[in-house]
Amino acid sequence: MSLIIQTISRGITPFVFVYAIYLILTGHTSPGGAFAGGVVIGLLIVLWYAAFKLSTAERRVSCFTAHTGRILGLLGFLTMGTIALLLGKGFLENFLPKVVGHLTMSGVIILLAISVGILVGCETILIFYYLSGRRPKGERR
Amino acid sequence: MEILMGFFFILVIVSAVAVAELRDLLAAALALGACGFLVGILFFLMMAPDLAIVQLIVEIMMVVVLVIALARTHRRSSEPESTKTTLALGVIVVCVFLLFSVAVVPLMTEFGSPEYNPEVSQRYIDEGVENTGSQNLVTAILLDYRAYDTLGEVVVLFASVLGMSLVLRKVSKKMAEGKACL
Repeated sequence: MSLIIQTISRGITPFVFVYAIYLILTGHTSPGGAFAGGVVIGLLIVLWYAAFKLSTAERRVSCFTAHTGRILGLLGFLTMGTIALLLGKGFLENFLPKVVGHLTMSGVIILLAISVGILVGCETILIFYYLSGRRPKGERR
Repeated sequence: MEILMGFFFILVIVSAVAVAELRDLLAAALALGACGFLVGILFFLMMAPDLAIVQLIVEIMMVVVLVIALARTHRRSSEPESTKTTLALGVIVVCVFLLFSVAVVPLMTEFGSPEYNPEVSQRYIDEGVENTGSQNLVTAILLDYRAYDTLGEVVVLFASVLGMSLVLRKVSKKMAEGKACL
C-alpha cells in the first residue's frame, strides 16, 4: 500500500488499541463491552494486513499467540466461575467486594469482561488468518 | 423519529434487494456493507448503542474481508437463465409468504413489547444496578444475570474456530501422504 496509508496506520495503531481496552474495561459503565472491544483488537490485524502485509501482522501477533490467548480467555472465564463455586456461591456469581466509583464497582464482571475480550479478540484474529488464504506461519504441525 | 426510522428501514430493504440482485460481486459486497451500516444506524435510533457499536465494527471487518477475498478471485459476470417456471415459482412463493404474514401479524404482540414475562424485564430494569453494581444494563445481563448464556456463546465461538483451524491448517508432508494422522 502507499506510504500515506502505512504512516497513518502506524500512527493510529496505539489509539485503536487504547480504544479497545477502554471498551472492554468500561463496559459496565458506558456502551461498549467485551465483545465490541475484542472485535476492535481483531480489526487492528485487518488494518495491518491492509496497510502492510500478512507477514507483518503475523510478526506482531503470531498464530500461536492467538491460540494461547483464546485458550487463556476461556480458562479465565471458567476459573472465575469455579472460584465462586469454591467460595460457596453459585457458578459465575459475584465474589468480589463492590467498591463504588472503582473499577470493581460491579465485582467479578470486570474480570469476566477481560477474559471474554481477550478470547473474542484472539478468535477474530484467527478467523482472519485462516480465511485470508495463506496459511499462517508458526502453526505447530 | 418514526419518519426517520421508516426512511432508514426503506433504505435497508433497498440495499438488501440490491445485494441479491447485483451481478457484480464487488458492488454486491459494498451494498452489503451499506445494508449493515444502515442497520447499525437503526440500532442507534432504537437506543441500543451497545448493539450499534458491535454492528458497525463487525460490518467494517466483513466488508474488508469480502473485498480481500474478491480481489483474489476471478470475477466473471454471467447472466443466469431465468425461465418462466422459476419466475412462476418465485411469484407463488412470494404470494404464499405475503398471505402467511397477513394471517400471522395480527396475532403477534406490539413491536418492542416483551412477549411474555414482562415482570422479569421490569425486575431487571428496577433492581439491575442494585444487584450487580453495573450501570450498563446490557453488561449486567450479559455477564451477571445471564452469564451462563455468555459462557455458551463463548464456547460456541471457541469450538467454531477450533473446527476452522482443523480444516484449514497447514498439513505436514507425512500427513498428506497418509503415513501419519493428527
